[in-house]
Amino acid sequence: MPRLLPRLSAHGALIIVSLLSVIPLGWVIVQSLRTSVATSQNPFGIEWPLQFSNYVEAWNAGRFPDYLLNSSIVALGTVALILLVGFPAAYALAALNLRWSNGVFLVFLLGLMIPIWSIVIPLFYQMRSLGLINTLVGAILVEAALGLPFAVFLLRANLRELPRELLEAARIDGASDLRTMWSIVRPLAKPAIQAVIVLTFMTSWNELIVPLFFLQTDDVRTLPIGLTFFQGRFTTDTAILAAGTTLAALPVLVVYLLFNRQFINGLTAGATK
Amino acid sequence: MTQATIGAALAGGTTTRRAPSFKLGARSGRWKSYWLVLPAFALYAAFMLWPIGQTVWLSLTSWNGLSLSPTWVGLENYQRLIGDERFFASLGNNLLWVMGSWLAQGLGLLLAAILSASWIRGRTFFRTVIFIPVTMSLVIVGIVWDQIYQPNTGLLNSGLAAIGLDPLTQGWLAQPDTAMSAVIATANWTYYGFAMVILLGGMQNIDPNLYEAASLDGAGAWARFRHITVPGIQNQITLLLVISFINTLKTFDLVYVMTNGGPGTATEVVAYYIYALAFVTNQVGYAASAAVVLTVIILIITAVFLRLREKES
Repeated sequence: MPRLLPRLSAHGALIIVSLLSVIPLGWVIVQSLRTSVATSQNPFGIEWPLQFSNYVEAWNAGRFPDYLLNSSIVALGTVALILLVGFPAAYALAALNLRWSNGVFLVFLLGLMIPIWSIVIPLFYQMRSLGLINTLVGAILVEAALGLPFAVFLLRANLRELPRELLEAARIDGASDLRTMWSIVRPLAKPAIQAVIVLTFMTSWNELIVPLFFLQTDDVRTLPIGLTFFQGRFTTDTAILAAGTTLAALPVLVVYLLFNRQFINGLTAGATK
Repeated sequence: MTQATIGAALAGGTTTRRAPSFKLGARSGRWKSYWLVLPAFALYAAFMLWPIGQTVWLSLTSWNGLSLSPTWVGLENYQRLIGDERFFASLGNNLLWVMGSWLAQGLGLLLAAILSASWIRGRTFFRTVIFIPVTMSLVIVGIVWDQIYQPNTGLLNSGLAAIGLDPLTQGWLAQPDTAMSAVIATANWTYYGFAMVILLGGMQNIDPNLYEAASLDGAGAWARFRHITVPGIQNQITLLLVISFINTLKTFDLVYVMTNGGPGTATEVVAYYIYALAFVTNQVGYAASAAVVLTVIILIITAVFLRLREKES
């Protein structure tokens, strides 16, 4: 173990960066409990009593219940659709010895590199003529297609590591592909599935561009896009804006703190193979 | 989190032990089970492949998005793009953003090196806290930092004034010469935690015996870092560099939330320019050509990266 001084400075550096990581958000939370007059006079202070009424005002003015509900539907729908179509595809491409499986996989892989900007322009007009604009289903379809390459990629990489003998044994015992996938592969792939769920959910929950184009009426807006409108309405009322921002940040923060192991494992699982 | 997902995916794919070469798959294989792939492929084709084809076609036309059908103009849009200073200025901002992100990755490397030391207390706590900004929606991040940069009520100017640095206080997002750096600094706030987690994952896979042997040979902390740690995480470093490159070229959210490309066009990036062309000034065909060029640039960089990776291994 090194001497005291290097140990102290190492921990000191970690504390400084930790503070840097939480102070911006922490400051906004403090601002959300003050009056807008007070925040404009002194950015550092805090006064009593705390202004919890800001949250009531933000909640009512910002249609937050709608935004939360829409965000939940879109994120859960995207995760469900991706797993529903992506898991069988990854399983088939990884384990079933298909013809051209690597070629098909490469086509999926391309989707990781494609920026949304190269699809969003025609898609906007396409969705409008299909009547899918301003519907949650439309947003789910687009976000699922965007997230699919990653899911297929991560699941396939994990399923390739399954012992072949196991799948062979299942086939010899007369199990169909579907049966093998559900009863044998799925339980073994649980960590990879969890990683896909957590990362896909977060991506969809935080997505701005898809709702910007495809969810343009207030009744279907998700949190991020709703928040940009909220920001526009309360530019001068900093305390209310801070309360709205905190309301939007809290669900993410809670989910992350509960599932941070899945987050970190999902990321590092791939990167350290 | 898009950067995270792409990171994990690229990481998984390019380091999978068994797949260094992409042959088209078993020739003797089966067709029968393709019905399992079909739903995924249909979704992907309808909402990714088909629109990409459409974008390429639109890029060869002139269209305002309102008239019945686009007019064919051949390569005219691309010719115009070559002479478009605003396009190259926005591409320049993207490159500035790339270089700015190296600072965050350097900090991530430092943090990972510290956290991988055996005598660190509270490793999980620090890792969890430092990763928090990565999980936040960029809309929230943008609004938070917009508040911090506010000239009169913001945390930054008040903080500077409080420690006697009044001359440095300014309207960070309102001036052309500071706005871009201010936005990039905000982006960096969401990058270092990501770099730290990826690099830490690599470091934890290095054989501890290597360090012990080096210590016995009298190697100091720096020598061990330089000759064991850095070579040991070569894959993760290359990976981070390409992910940040790809994502920085696509970046949009912070500019949309914080500056709308302004003041003037000082913080305009390529994605924002495409957005403005297509949906603000209704030059749909021209916007499509810019999107195609952006995609080609990303594909070229990825291809070069994969080639380098192959050479290394």
